[in-house]
Amino acid sequence: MGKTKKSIGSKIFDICNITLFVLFCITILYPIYEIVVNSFSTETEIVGKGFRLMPYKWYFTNWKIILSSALLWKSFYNSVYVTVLASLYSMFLSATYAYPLSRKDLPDRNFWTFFLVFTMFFSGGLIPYYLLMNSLKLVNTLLVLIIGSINVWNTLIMRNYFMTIPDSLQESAKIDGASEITILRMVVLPLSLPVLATVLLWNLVANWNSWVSCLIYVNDPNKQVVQIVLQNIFRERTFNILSENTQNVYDALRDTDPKQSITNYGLRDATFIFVTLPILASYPFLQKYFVKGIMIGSLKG
Amino acid sequence: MAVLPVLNKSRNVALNRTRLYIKYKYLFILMIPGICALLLFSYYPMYGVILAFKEYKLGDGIFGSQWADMYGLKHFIRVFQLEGVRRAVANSFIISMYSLAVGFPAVILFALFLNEIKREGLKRRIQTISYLPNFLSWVAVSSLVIDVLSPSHGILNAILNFFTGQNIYFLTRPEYFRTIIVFSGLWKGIGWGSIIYLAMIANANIELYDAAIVDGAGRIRQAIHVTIPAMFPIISIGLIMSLSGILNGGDFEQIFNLVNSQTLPVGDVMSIYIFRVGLGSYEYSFGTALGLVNTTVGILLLAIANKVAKRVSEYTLW
Repeated sequence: MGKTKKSIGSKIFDICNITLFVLFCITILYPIYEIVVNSFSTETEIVGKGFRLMPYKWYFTNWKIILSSALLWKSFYNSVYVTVLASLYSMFLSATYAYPLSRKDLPDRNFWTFFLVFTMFFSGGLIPYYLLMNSLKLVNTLLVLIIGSINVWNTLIMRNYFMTIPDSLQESAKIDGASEITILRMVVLPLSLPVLATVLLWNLVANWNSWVSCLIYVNDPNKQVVQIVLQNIFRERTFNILSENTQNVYDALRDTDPKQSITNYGLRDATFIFVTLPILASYPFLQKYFVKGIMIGSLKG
Repeated sequence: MAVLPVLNKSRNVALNRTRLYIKYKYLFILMIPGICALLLFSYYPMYGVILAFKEYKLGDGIFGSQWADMYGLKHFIRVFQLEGVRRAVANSFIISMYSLAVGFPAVILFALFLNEIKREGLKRRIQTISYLPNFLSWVAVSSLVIDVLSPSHGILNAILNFFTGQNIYFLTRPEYFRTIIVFSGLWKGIGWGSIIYLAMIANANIELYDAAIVDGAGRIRQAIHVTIPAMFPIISIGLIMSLSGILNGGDFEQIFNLVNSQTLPVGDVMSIYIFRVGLGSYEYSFGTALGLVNTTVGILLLAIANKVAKRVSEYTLW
């Protein structure tokens, strides 16, 4: 089969095809790369010069301001805190609900599946949820970003994976006198590490990237997550989120670059890198684990 | 056992069920956290939709508040009367249809053409890069979009300026807004969305390809007769899911970050409108009514799409 000679048309197609895909990849990599370059450039250079592979003059004031911003670090800490706890909370809920659902002998299994899946299609909506959070006194706390309902999709993916574990393993553990909880802990979970790792990674990324809840439920400037900080900088073009005394920021910038304006792209782009770095840096290594879960989940809906 | 009379059958069933639940008590103990979370955070807010039939006052709470006028339907009547709602429905519908018409075939073509790259290393590298935007938040991706489209230093305007000598501030022009939304959504999601199709292609029967080659089918005919049929189940399910979301008008996170006062007339989709009116203007009852209509229509559309899919193919959601 490998011997069959490719026609000219086929070859031209291959070249065009590969070129298009490479161009598409450039549209992904170039904007991110440009932002990295901008974060090390002066304002004059960003606005005045077009495409460049390296800053003409390496400029570190943007980064100095970003890295010495107490409010930005505070939001970074908030994001780490919320991301870790919310992911563990969600994993716990999904795994403990998914395992019984995966058991064919669970009484009223169809009902309990429906009880879960129904919430994917119907919800009370934004306002009843807001009022619930309000009455639980969770508005303006970080806890509101951590707790919540069960993630239906992740639970179904775990259930599907648990179902592929042979019943005989659980049977023999039962004969040895293991309780259901021990079976889950000692047999099912250790055998499900691939799916658990994938779902945990998805959770971590989703929570790191989440900002809508913070926008709706949290006003306190000390309790913002990094995405909100980035959003404020991009939308409002103000840097008061970086420092209580905005004038200090502008003074520091003007000292080193006389053409500083209020719309500071370099500072903005340094914040962008700061906020997305955990994802950009870990992505190349974790990418293959992200994909694994999709295949598992697609086995059966 | 023999003492139990036959006429007590229903009691007997209940007893059996209780016994069954006791037998499996540990499984149910495991489920308690999940059940509690579902009840409190999903089912209780569903009960809160009665707010839509009331006149919400902050001090009185959901249950203490007065019933709304017109047999409690006042807010629903407003939903069907307000010009703003009509605009939101129209905007949502147009953006959803646009992104379905462009995005849906694009993802399938992406998978199909990627599958034609036979150099494994290159293919894997392209895949890795193409998934990346999916892992960035919409806050970050819209920053990139704003940058690329910027009239002062964006690359698109630099190219435009080179050829035409003028700059366009794309993000303030309503006529470009939908295209920006559809294509930035595509840029973010196409790689990740293609995974599932590539998986279906990989599962396609190799014997079918061999048979096609023996029959003299070239690459195009192989794609049409073997590869595309292999993707049918997911195409069908994907279409059902997208049709049910038509009234949402795309991603709230995306539009929220890209819309501004100039583009609001075309960008004010349902989710944005509910957010603006419900929380922004504190119209809790009206916002709830609107949300209720929105989810109900979503479920109806899902059911209809599923029914249609059942008629034309064997692959459905349920």
